[in-house]
Amino acid sequence: MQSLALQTFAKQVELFSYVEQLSAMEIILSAMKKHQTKENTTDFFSNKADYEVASTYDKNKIKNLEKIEKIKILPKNWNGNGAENFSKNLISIIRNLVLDLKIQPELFPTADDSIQIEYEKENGDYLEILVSENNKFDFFQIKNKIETTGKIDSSSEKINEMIGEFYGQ
Amino acid sequence: MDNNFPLEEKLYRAVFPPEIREMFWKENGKVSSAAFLDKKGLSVERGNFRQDSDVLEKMKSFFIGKVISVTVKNCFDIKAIPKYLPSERSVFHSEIHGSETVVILSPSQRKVLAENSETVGDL
Repeated sequence: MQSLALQTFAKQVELFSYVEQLSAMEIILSAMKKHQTKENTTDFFSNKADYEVASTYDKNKIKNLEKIEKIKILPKNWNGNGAENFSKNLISIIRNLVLDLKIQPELFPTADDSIQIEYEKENGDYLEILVSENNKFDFFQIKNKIETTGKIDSSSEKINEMIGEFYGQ
Repeated sequence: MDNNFPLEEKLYRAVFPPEIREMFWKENGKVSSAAFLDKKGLSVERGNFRQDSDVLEKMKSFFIGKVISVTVKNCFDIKAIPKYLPSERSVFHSEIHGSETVVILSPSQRKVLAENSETVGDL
């Protein structure tokens, strides 16, 4: 099982660029970190959940990880109005979140020490979360034309729940 | 020019960073509302009814990036306030504030402005 999974994944990874390959490896490492236990350390891909993470090769996730790399190297005053560059901690927070999100957003830097993730449906429903170094993130949602703002716990679990509800899952 | 903004006047914003011009554009071709979030105040150049090409030419001397525009009416419709704040760099410099007392735009205001913005050109 382990060998087959690795071979399959390696074939998929070969199709992508060097940066994408690096990002793909991060997905695997993240999955390994999450599911690794003393019992299965050397048998990573025998764990079905891990195999699904690796074999469900999420191109949107890779795309977001690549964009985070671009945001990471933005210099000070990147917006021409004195914006600070993004802290290592915030970059780490958004990377871990992207790795954990079940549905990938579009993400954008802001000049407010945050990175905005967005979900939008064709019917106009919209969900925006400002990912920051705070324990709670600001969110803005439009659902059935009703606007809601508030704060959400910064844990990936809570955010995945909110996204699931947004998509009616 | 003073703090009176006619409804039809255009306000131009250069969207940085120039190194990665598509950073703020969504897959559906629209600009993200994140481009309208700046805790220091949303800087714009007021058009004062100049031609787009004239505005771009002037902005070219101190900006690089994509330029988008909204109208003063777009701002008033969502109770955002254009402020005329000329600087040494530009006599046209202005900012769009969330209200008379709040500098930052609300998420709702940002989204509406993003949806109503038009791409004017590249610098």
